[in-house]
Amino acid sequence: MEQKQKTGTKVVEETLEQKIARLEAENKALEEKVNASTDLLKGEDAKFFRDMELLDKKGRVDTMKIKVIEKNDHKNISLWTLEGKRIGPLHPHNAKRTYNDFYKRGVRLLVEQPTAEQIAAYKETPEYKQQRAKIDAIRAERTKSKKKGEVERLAALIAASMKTTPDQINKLASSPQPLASGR
Amino acid sequence: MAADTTTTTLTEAIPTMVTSALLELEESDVVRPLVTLDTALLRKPGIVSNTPIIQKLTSEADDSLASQALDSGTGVDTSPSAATAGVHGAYVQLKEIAALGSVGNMAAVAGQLIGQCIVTRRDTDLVTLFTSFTTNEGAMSTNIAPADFYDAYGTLRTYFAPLPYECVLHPQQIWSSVGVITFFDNSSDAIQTFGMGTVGEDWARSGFSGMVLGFRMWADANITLTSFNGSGACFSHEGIKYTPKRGFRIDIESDAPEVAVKIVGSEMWGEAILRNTHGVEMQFDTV
Repeated sequence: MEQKQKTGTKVVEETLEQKIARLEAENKALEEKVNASTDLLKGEDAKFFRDMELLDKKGRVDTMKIKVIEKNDHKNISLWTLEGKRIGPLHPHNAKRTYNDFYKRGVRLLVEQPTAEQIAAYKETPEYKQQRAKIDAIRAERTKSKKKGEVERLAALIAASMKTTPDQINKLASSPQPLASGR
Repeated sequence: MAADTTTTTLTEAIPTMVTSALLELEESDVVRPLVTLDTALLRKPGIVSNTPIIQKLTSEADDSLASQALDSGTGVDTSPSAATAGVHGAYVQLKEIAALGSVGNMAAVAGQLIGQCIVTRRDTDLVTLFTSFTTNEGAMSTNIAPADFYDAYGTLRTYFAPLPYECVLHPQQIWSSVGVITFFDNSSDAIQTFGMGTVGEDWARSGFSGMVLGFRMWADANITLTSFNGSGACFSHEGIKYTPKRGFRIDIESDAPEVAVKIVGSEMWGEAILRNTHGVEMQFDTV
């Protein structure tokens, strides 16, 4: 297979063998650069540690290992919502009951985990957007600040009791103090 | 002149001190004491415990009650509530050479590992039922707010759930920048509770309070978090039932070919939602 390589403005075709040779030369140059560095292990030192690592991987000593194995007589399973939320893992009988409970309430659960594509597709549906809008409206109501507008409300109450307007009340703060003059 | 002694030789003569091993910590039995204990299967035949839920009667304002029958409408809770008991166990293969070579008592360590494993399994089985409650006060990508507790309490009370009400959340749903603790941080939207002897003072001093907005608070790290979101629950004890069949037992047998001893711990239990209306899921973010 031929590969094309750009050199300046001229496109030079490179054969597979040439490409392999070029990559091998680059690898060798990089290895020499690594070995030349004084911060890294080189040569025999690096080989020693690589061999030690290999020995650990190939050999196995279980003498001081305590194996703990959990055993159950049933396998729990999970149900999934259309937007990918996991329900469970549950005992299979509990999973069936949960599936029925949600089904009676008009919520469809899935027995298999939906893929990322399926979740993304569901999030584009009008059904999901409607559901999410409901949740967002509930969140907005539950999290709205109950202290916002307190000062304005208080000013309005004071103004009403003094038979004036909130603006007049606010002006008092910036108007000159009568007792301050002449001091 | 005295002969020189190298430090290498002396190092080999110095023994290594080994203290008692520390086991990795696990959450223990948080939820089991908070739910209904159903002893129908203990020392009796059967592996499924059914709890029928009989619908209430509706009294009619009618001058002829003779034609009235038991209300045939659909009950709010699924009946029966069925819990199937299953075997839960763990076994440890303790090699003789490990037992002989250890400083500590490895059989005791093995027993502790088995016990912890089974307790965690039971707590996890109960905690995963939280997502089975059909009412969810939260959602994905949602931070907890005081109003969620108001609505949770209202839901439980509407369906006559008996007190006390429990709230089990993941620790990070309680202690995090978006957790329950933010209700009491004296910010502009915090709950107005500060002063001596108040819940706010408890949170400010010890970082915790036994009760929050009508619920007894419990932290359970066995709740799974996915994408910084997890599902705790607010419930009454009749929301969930725990059905033991046989208590914890240890069996020991020799495994001669492996030159080891098998230590097996097992327990049998089942769990199920008892009254769906006596619990609500609390699905909220942690950060």
